[in-house]
Amino acid sequence: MPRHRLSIILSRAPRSFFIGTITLVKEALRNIWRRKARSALTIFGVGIGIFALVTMGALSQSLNKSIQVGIDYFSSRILVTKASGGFGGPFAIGPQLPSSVTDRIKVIDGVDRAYPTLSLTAKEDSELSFTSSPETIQGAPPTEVAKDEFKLELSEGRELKAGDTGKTVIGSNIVQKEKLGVGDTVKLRGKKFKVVGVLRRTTADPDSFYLVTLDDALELSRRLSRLSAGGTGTVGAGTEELVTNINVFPEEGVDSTKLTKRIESTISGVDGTPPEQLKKTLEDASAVFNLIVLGSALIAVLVGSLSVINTMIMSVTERRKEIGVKRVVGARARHILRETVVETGLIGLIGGVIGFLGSAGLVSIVNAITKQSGLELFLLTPKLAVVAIGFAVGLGVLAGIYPAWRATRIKPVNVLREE
Amino acid sequence: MMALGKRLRRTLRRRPKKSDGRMKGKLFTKQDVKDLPPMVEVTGLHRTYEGAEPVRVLKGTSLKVERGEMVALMGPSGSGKTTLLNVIGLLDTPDSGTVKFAGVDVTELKRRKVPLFRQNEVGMIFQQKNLIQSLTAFENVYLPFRYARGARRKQGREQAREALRLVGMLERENHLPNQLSGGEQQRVAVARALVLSPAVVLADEPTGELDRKTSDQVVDLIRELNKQTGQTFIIVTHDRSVAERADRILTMDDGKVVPEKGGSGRKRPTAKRPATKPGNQPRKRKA
Repeated sequence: MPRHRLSIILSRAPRSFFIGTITLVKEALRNIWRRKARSALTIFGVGIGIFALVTMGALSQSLNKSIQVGIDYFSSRILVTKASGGFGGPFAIGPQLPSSVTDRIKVIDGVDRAYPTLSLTAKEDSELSFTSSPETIQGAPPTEVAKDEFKLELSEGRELKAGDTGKTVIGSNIVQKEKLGVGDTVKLRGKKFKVVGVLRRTTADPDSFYLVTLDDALELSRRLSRLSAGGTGTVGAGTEELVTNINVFPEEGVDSTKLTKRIESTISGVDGTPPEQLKKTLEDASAVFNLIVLGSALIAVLVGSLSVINTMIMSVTERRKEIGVKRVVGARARHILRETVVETGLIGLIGGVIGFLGSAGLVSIVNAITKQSGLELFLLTPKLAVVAIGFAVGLGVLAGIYPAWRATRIKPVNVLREE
Repeated sequence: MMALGKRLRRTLRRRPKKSDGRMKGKLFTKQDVKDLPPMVEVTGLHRTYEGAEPVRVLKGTSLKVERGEMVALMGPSGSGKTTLLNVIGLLDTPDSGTVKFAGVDVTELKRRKVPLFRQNEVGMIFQQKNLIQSLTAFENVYLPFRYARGARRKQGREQAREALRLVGMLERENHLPNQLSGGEQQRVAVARALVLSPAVVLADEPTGELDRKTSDQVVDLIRELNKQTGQTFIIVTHDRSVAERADRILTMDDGKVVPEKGGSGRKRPTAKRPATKPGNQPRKRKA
C-alpha cells in the first residue's frame, strides 16, 4: 500500500521544524494563559458563535436531509392531485381523487406508467407537530413501487410484494416508538398487520410510515368512511375508491412540464406538479431556511471574530517590547506575523472546540427528547464538526492578520527602552 | 550587493584560531591583529530626530574598536550613547556616515539582509533585560535559533544549553523570567546575546537595574566571556566601576566621542589586555 503523501512530507521534514512548531504553540498557549480573563472572554465569544453555527447547522442539515429524500422521491415523477386540494406534499393525508383517474392518465400520450397512492393517518389521535412526524399508512401497489427509481432501503426483512394482504413494512421511528420488529403484529385502524420489513432511517417522513398494499389501504379507507358516517368531505364523490394522489412517470425523452399541462388539459379537476417544479419548491424552501439559520449563526461568529481582533490588538500593543526584542535577535516580519496568527488561530481552535462540544451536548439532549416522539431535530455529522472547527480556526487566523500586520510595523529602536 | 553579505561574513569569521600553534593558550599577537581591519569602525555619524524641534543626537561621531576588545562608552545622559549603539547594531539608520564591520560598510546592507546581520553578527544586552515573559530561560536563549536558517537551528538546543551553562544558569533553564531574580535574568539575557557567537556584543547599561553585588557578578561574567570567546564588547554605562573593567573607556559628549588623551581612547589603568591600535602596546591575555 503506498504511503500517504502527507506522511512522506512529514518524514522528510527536519526535526527542527517540529521543535520550532511545538515551541511556537507552547508560547502562544502561554500568552493566552498569561491574560486569563481576557483570553477566556475572547474564547467564550468565539465559542458562542461556533455554538450557534453548529446548532443551526445541525438543524439545517436535518432539514436538508429530509428535503433531499423528498427531492429524490420526486426526481422522476409527476404528482397529480385533486385540483381544489392543491399540492399537499407527497404524503398528504386523506382521499382526494378517484383512483379511476389513474387509468385515464395512463392512456395520455407520453405517459410511461402511473399508479395511485393512498395516505391515511395511522391513529385516531395522530396530529402534525413540529417535533414529530405523524405516523402514516401509505398504500401503494407493490408491483408498481418496485419499478420506481427511488427506493426506500430496508434495514431488516423484505419489501412488500403483490398479494401481501395484512402485511406491512415499517419506518425506523415506529420500530423505536412502538417497539415493533419483523414478525410482530400491529393493529392499524382496527385491522391487524404483520411486520415483514423495517426501513432504514432516512430522517424524513418515511421513518414514520406503515407501508401497506393499496388494497389494504383502500379497505381501511372504506372502513373509516363507514365509521365516520359519511366519511371525510371528499367521500361524497360516490362509491368510487378515492386516493390521495397519482404518481405519473413520463416516457423517456418526454418533457415532464409539457406532459403535466397535457394531463391537466385532458382531465378536468386535477393538478399536476412536474418534478422540476417540486424540486425547485423544495430547494427554495431549503435555501431560505438555510440562509436565515446559517446567516444568523454567521453573524454570531463574526462578532466573536471581532473580539479576537480587539484582544489581539491589545495584546500586540502590550507586547510591543517583546516583539522589538524578537526583531533584535533576528526575527523577520514573517516570523512575527506567523507567531501572532498562530496565537489567534489557537484562540479560534479552543473557542471552536468549546462551542462545538457545547452544541453537541445540547443537540444530543434535544435529540434524545424528540426521538421519543419519532423525530431527530438535529443532525450532527463529522463533516459539520470539521467545517465548524475549521471555520473557527480560519476566522481566528483571519482575525489575527491585522493585529499581526501592526506587530510587524513595530520598530525595535522605538520600544526597547519603554517602561 | 549579494557579495557584500558574503564578504562581510567571511571577513568577520577571520579570527585567530585556538588550534593555531602560536595562539594556543596564549594571546593574540600584535601581528595577528595588525593585518585585520578594526572590528567596528564608525566614521562621521550624524543622526537627527525629527519633530517640532529637531534634536541632533549624533554630530559626526567616529570611533574604532578592535577585535576582541572590550570598550566602555560613558558620558552624560542625552550625549548619544544609546543612539550610537543602536546605529552600530543597525536598529537605527544614520542620516550620514558609515559603520564598518571588519572593513565592510554595513549601512549599505539591503534592508532584508539586516535581520540576518543582526542575528549572526550582533548580540545585544539591555538594561531592562528584555526577556520574553512567556518563554523559559532556555527558550529565551534559544530564541535567536528560532529565526535562524535550518542548518543552525539543528544545533541550537545544544548551543543554547552551552550558553546557559557558561552564564551559570543551566539549572534554571526551565524557569520563566518572573521566577528569576534581576541578576539571573540579566545572565539569561547575556546568554541570549552570545548564543549565536556574534562578532560584536553591544550592551546598553547592562547593570543599570542591578544592585552593586549583582552588577559586579554580571560584569565579571561579561569580562570572563570576553576573554574566553574573544568577542568584541561595547558597553554603554554610567557606572565608572563597570567602565574600569573594560580595556578602554570612551567618553561621549554632545553627540561626539571625546578624543582620548594621547590616543583614540582612554586606556583602562589596570588593563591586562593590550590595545590593538597602532602605537599602543600589544595586548596580553590571561591563559
